[in-house]
Amino acid sequence: MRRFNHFNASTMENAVSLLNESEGPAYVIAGGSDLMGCLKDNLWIEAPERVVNLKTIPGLKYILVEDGDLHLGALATLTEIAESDTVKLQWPGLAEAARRTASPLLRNMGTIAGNICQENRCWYFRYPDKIGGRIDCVRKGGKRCLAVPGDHRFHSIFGAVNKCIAVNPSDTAPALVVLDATVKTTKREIPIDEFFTAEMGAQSTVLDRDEIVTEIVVPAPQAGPNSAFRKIAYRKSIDFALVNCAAALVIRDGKVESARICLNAVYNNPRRCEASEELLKGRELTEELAQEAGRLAVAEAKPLLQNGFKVQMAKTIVSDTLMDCI
Amino acid sequence: MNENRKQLIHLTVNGEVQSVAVESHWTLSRVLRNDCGHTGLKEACGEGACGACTVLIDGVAVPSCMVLAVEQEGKSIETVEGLSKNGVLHPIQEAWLEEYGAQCGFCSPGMIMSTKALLAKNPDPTEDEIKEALGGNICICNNYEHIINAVRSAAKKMREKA
Amino acid sequence: MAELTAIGKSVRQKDGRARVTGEAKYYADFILPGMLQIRILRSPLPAATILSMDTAEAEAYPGVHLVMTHLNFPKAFRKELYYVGDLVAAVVADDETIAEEAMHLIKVEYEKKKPILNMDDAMKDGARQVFDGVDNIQDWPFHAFLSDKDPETGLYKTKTPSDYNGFGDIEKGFAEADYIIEQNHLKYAYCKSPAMEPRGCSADFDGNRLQVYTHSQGMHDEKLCLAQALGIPSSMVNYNAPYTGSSFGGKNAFPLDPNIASHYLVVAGFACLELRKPVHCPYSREEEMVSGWSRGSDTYVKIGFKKDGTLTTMDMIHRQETGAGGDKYPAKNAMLATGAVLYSHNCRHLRGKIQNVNTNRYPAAGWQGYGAPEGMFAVETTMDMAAYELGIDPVELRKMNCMRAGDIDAGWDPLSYISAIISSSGIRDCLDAGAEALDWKNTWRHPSEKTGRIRHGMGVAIFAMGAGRPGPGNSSEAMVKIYPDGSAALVCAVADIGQGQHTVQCQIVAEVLGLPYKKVGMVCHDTDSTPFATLVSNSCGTWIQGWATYEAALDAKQRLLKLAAAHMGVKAEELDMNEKGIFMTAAPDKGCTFAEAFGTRGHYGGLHEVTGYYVNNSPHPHGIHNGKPDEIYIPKEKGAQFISLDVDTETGMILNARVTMAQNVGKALNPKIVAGQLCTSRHGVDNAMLGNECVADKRNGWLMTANWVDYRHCTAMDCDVDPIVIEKPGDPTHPFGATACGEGAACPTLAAFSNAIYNAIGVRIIETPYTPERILRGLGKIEDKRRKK
Repeated sequence: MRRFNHFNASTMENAVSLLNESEGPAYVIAGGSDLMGCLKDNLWIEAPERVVNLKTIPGLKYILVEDGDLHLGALATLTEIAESDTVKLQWPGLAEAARRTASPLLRNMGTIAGNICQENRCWYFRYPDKIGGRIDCVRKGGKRCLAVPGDHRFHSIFGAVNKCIAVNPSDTAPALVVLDATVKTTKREIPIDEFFTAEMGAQSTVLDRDEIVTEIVVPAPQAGPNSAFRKIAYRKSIDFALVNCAAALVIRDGKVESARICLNAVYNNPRRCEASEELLKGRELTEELAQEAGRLAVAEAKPLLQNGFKVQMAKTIVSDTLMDCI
Repeated sequence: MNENRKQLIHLTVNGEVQSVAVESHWTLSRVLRNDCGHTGLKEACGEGACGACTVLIDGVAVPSCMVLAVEQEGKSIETVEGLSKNGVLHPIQEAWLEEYGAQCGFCSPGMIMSTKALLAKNPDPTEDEIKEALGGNICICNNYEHIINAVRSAAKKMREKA
Repeated sequence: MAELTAIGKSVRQKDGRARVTGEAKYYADFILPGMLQIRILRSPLPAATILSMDTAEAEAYPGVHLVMTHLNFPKAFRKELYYVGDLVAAVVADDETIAEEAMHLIKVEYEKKKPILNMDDAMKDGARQVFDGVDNIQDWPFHAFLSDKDPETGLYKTKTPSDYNGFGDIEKGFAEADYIIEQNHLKYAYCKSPAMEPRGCSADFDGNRLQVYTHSQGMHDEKLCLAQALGIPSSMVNYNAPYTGSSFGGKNAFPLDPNIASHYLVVAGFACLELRKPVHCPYSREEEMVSGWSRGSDTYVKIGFKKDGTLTTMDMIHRQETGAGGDKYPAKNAMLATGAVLYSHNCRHLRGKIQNVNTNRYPAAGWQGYGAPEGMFAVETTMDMAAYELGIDPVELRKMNCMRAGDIDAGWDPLSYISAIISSSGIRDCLDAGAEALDWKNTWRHPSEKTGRIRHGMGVAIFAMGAGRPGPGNSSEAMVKIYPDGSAALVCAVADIGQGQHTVQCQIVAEVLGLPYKKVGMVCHDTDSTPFATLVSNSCGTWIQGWATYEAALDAKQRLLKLAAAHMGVKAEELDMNEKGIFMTAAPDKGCTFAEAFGTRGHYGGLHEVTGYYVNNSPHPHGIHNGKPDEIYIPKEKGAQFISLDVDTETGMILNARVTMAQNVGKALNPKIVAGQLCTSRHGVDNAMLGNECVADKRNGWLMTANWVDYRHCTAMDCDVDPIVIEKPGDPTHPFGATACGEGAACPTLAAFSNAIYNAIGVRIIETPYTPERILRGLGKIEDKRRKK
């Protein structure tokens, strides 16, 4: 690992100024499970000049319910969220997504804010410098995506963003999307639907370089805790998803009043399945309808040579997740 | 020259306060092994995906290869070396010996620390709970059947003791 | 023999206490004062020549002691690079960060060559040679035809060099067959030979002796090679390898061959000799991942049967990837799956051609089973097809044809013998035990009867694996010391890589001497303090070292009894010993203490220890038939494995995989160790259902999965294993009737898995890993929407 300067932030304002004062690239570290991997593999073209520690900022590690809404401090860990009785009861999709993230050890350190800000896991993007040097892929400023002509078995089935076909790997992201969360930062409040963007280069969110997530707010379920999360991965622990999916339904009088469905690990950003959501509105959720929703979710899919299987998986996981909601 | 880059931190490792000068990019596993003499913890994958380097920081099990040492000021850290007291093995270690929990032994220090964290939280875990709690610890000898038996037996010993 | 006291008991692991307290010192735990750190610069290209190098800036970097390249250390580095990650240079510096920073200052100009990144390309006409002047495809150099069968023993008396291994008349065999089952391109993916502890070493030179600290499967072998590679006398080197953080064959070091991934030894050795300072050369996981791959085969199998299911004829062409060189020997073990061994009972006509194929992927190494899993995968999936085609239960078809005690091993190792008598089998017992555990008879259903989204399947495969290799170069020695306090020490160099050899060898000593296991200590730290032992490979520890240990303990016992006899004024033959001392066999209350037998003790007078010693130049006399040296017995690892699983036909995922692993070990010297060995079947599970394969970028040769997130190994949650230990007594080749155990568990898994998937969904997948992609494609569930270029 390369050297960098390390600072402990005392407040969020302090953290922001520490970022702004940096002469070179600067990163914040909370749990660090994603950042440490990037640092160890030395995967950025410009090595970070400084790392700003957020764990020294008091009062960011909380899980609270206020007026029915869930408030997650930026430093709340995935373990805490997965094990919270309130979250399990009211927002089961989120609790399950947290529980299925990485491994127990990584969940102990990983934070919810870090989980939605993590870098993608594309093999080319992540290629370590220890065995022949870093690969400068399109996401890092290179000319072209190397996965398209190379190995893309786990890449996007919905096309590229700025030539990049990496996928967003987060498990909690789709859960927060379907629960219509709001991400509060040092600068603004961002509706979750607008939070993820791979359009801006190496990062996966709309955050400015000197902007830090402070809190995530999840509104109270409207009619009942009808949310669910599913993940397909090779292993039951550690692995990133081949495909994951979250869904949240508002069900009144036995009928779906509104639905939010989100697939992840299928595209650069978490992908809402709007056509499927529309389909469900006003109807009773049955196995058949769920399957139809699954088919609609992948109607626009454009798989590559190696990843057609993810279309079938995505289709299936959408219908399975919907059925889990009731 | 390198000394200038170092920063003094204070750790309580297995109950003993240690002051150690660290560089900002050093991981906790590196510092515990190279600078604090705790070579009992092992590093195997270097990215938190195997659990060999598991230690408890303020009671929480984490892979120490993914943690910066400089951020551990004032923390209490437990490694496998802290388990036995005056030559008397901890019940988890006893159980490991009885049930043949170690084959090559390279995963044992981490596996044992994950077990300690589990049993502190859940003194009577089911088989599925044990498996889930050890889900971040790889044993490449694939000795999981014996390991699960060892955790069960350790839990029993500790419940009887308590 | 009297009732066993130490053998057959699950005594505690000899060095277990150190392993669970963290006190066990693996190589990286020897942190020496002033130790310098080595980092290796590795090739970004899969095939290239170094045109020029500029190391001036790196050498001038503060804290750097030495920069090593092919220019100043031609024995450690090469100008030609054969794979991504191949060694370009090394930096020795005060610490790892300085070494890493300086490493990036080395400027290298490469001339690119067109890389060959898969076996198919390597085998094409006119393909560029990976190694100049060496054909990419190489025939096994010891192919031999066996003939002149002795009617009495069944042994072959004549071996003729040939372009394949075999016996009988293959054309005639197929002409007479009622059924012929044929499969081509059965592909076992190239996979990483894993270990928990990445490879590496430390070295320290005091001007007189070079101390090397490393992991090892055979420290004496490795030491001799290292001394030779460094050009110094072997006597200068002491090889310290007290603990090894697992190795399943892959970490076997052979520093004389630049294609075998043991470069850390040579690099550290030269650096240490040059600088006369302690150095540490650890591989990161990423570096470990480009060092030592295994499996990687493409096999053709054709089997001929009689109407009743009798297997009479077999043909096989087995091609195995060796990457950029590396270990070429595993391929031959594919023969174990054929009529040469596994189906020797009825097979009368056999042809097996073995080939190695070079590519610009990562160098090959051994791995648990050492070629046998690839052979078993190919043959046992084909046997399964035969069972369905012939309408015979897959278990029954195997029971009819599998090897039995007394059958003839026709040459898995043509180097050391012509043919040998298989001393025990028990495969049929293993099949019965596994089938019973799964209630196979009542629950097995034909795939055509399966319906619904989640479909259950069961598959079976049998295996035979080597168990020590009788012959030159496979000797092991042991010294057993008995002390006046009634304790004993075993001094030997058998490596404990997690398989439990230190424990088991001490059990043997305890048994022979009648001492409690606790009173037997183990001295096995380094080469200085131990006599030679062959490396632990071919699951030979219990067999080859076991005999040496047993005989050395007997020798020590005889010597002690002689001392006691002199003291007591009786004949040694009248005496025996136990924990309390030496006693008359006929009158156990008469005897003497250990101290009395040893005589006056203290600084003057008396004996301080008696030492027994034995060299087992295998085969041991018990390993030959009727005392005839040309009639060798060969035990095998053998057994049967069953896989039970569910397939989700909508996602292609395999769920609820469960392995039932039955193995006949003759005698389980330590039942818990044996059960633990059977659970290593999960290595096969990794390769079957966790998507493990060598993903090298097809244009650039980069290893895309150089870490343990993307290259997966089972956690406790992913698969259960039920070990079934069968103890069928009567194998004459071991003092306690043990055969071998260790590698077998990995051999049948891929075949049993493929067979179980077929049983669940009626889709035969003959290419590993069994990914959801392959399963869904087999089920016709993948729509090809993609545009074809």
